Amino acid sequence: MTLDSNQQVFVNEATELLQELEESLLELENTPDSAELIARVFRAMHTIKGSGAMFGFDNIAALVHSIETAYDMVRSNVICVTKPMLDYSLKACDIIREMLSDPEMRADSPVAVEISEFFTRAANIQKQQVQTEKQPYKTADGVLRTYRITFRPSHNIMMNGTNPSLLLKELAEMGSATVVAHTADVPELNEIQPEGCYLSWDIILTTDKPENDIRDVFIFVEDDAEITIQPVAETFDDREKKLGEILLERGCLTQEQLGEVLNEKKRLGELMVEKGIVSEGAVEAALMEQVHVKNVNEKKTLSAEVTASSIRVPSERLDSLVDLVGELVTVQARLSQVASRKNDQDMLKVAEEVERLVWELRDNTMSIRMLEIGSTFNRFKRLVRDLSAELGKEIELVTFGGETEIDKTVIEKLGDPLVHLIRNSIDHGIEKPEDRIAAGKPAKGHISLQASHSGDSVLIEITDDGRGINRKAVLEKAKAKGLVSENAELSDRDIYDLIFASGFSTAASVSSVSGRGVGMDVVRRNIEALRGTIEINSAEGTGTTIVLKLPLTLAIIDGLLVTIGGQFFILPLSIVNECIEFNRSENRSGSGRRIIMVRNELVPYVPLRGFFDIRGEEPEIQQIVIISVDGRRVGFVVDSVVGDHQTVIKSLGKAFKDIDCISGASVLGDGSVALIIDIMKIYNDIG
Amino acid sequence: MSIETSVEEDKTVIEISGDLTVGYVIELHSVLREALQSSDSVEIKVGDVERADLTLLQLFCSAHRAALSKDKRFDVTGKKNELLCMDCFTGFTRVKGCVIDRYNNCALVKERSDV
Repeated sequence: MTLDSNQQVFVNEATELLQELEESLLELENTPDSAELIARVFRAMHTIKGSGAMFGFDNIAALVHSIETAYDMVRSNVICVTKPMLDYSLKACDIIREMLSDPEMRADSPVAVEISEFFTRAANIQKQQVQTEKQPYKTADGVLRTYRITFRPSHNIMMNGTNPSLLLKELAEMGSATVVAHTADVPELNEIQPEGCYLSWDIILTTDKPENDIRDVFIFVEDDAEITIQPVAETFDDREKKLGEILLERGCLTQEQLGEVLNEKKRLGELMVEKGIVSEGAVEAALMEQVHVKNVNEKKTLSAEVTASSIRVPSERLDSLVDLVGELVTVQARLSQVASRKNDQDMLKVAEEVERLVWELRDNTMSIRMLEIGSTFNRFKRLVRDLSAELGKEIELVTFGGETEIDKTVIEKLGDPLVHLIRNSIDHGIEKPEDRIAAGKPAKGHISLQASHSGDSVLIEITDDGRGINRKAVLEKAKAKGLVSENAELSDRDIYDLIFASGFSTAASVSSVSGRGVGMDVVRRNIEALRGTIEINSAEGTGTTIVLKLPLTLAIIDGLLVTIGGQFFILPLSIVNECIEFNRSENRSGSGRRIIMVRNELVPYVPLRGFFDIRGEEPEIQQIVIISVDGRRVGFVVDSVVGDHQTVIKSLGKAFKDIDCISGASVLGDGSVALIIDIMKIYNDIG
Repeated sequence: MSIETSVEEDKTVIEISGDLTVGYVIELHSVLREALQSSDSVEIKVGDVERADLTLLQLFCSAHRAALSKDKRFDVTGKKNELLCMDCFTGFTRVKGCVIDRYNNCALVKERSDV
């Protein structure tokens, strides 16, 4: 089944709603009495069901129907939230996700049927209980009320795929309804936009349902329509009738006669001035105040609407925008270079202005792609809940810094590594409740996920208060696997590094969660592919902290432009410590070891000319670019350092995908290409 | 949607059937505009309708207004009552046209049965 654009929008929105729904359900587990959370869950279910039916996802609508009914009863204080209910609700979220990705998936799959049956059973049991106990349904108090509903959809409602007829039908099913369609706003053929909506409806509905249920019908069009719901009894019968109305009803006078008399009546302000109680100016001022307050209130409402407004843009368009900005940065560099070469003052001024604007554009564009990492964090609450239950552990996940923003591409690629790390914490880190109590710890373990900004990077820390890493066991396992020699003496950091070796695992047995040793090396590879680093700190018996350091963005970076043998190369500026001169004679030290003394510190170095096998004579005086990774400093020898360079990263394409140690390329102002060196890869390769 | 146009003397007859929903309404709109430009009388003959939505009735109303402003006729015939009785047209219950309906041929009023 191919989805049309409206269905695709529904899929996107439903995916977001499911995320919110899942978060609400998990919160509800801790605070099952929260009316706000219950209402949120119900609204999400109702919207998914209603929109699903509207966009042809009948399978989803069918599945959600019974769940929605149950949560409606929760909302009405008829039933309470139970753990099985939450378990089945979360299962339903998974099934709905599957249905979104496969619209042809039927609602009668065994799991879907199990879910529906559970909720139907729950609702029926409660209905029977209600009848037995003669408890009134919260709002269905047996009293029929009549509501006057006006529904004026926005012009675009049908273009957005919403069919107002379905809403009217749903209203009609709530009781006795008289629906009147208004066509007064329909323009002539030359002016009409055929897919636009020019209709509005008045609905008089008599129902025993409360007003909230009527509002819920419009829940997913309320921002896209003018809707008023007025209880008819309250607006007419409940207030005292005015004299004119009573006389009119009794037939003592006609509407025209009443109008004439009312027009003769003077206004309050005029009467006050006539009687000399207040001055004309005072009345005018009071009226001005009235108008002013009204305007302010209107502006406040308008401003609230503006603040809340946002638009949905496909991420491909953002990617395309970033690509275009990248091209613009390259062209701007070229313009600056040409202006500088020609030394034309007018052109230089223009080039400077363009440069300023391009940087602003770049920053703005990058900021659009920034997403809060909180949404990714929230995904893990479900993971922790399910896995801890599976393993018989009590674990709470706490998150901090969810508002930290990071490039969407980085966030997208961060999910899998974080899943591995959290699974490891749950499986290997946190002990079983009885073991924790025996170790003097609370039965419930904690995992914290924390994000924070650090310069042009984001730090993500995953901390658990589990048993920590057993360094001795790691070392023994490494020796047994031949990863280190039998008599090797390693620092704590070196031992932790062994965990990242391919196939390394200290787990005595393989479980469904972890223990196959295929996780941590993949985690490191993925993090390094994002130009990030990973570091482990652990204390036995106390817990482990894993720190990920990631760049804010992957599209444009600050680079250090260098040359080797007449070719340009770029190193990421974020890890560069310093550049120092390097005499060729030092490269041929008698010992053959490539180590240089920098301010009384021995720093190993790599001659990049030799590493890349670049031919030609190296200059007498070269430069060493010293970088710092995990607290260690390493030098890279280059011919010369040109300076900093705003690097628009271009991939090398499939033909060059196997080239190691080059992570991409960038086009310079003069059109030449500079290769971006994968410093981390070289650093890891040289050990 | 199937749209078949024929010209009978000074009248253009447009026969429509099938899926009469928003996806096809633009095509009908342009056919109606052309017809009302070239003929003094336009008749829409409703055939077997599979699906329909509000955009169709809206377009009928719009065409009727356009015809009246040019002192032309616009009539909806054929299975008009069946169309107006469809579930999706809740609220279109009028028995009399709007104030400008001088020929009493409002497209949204059901045809009376003489039985």
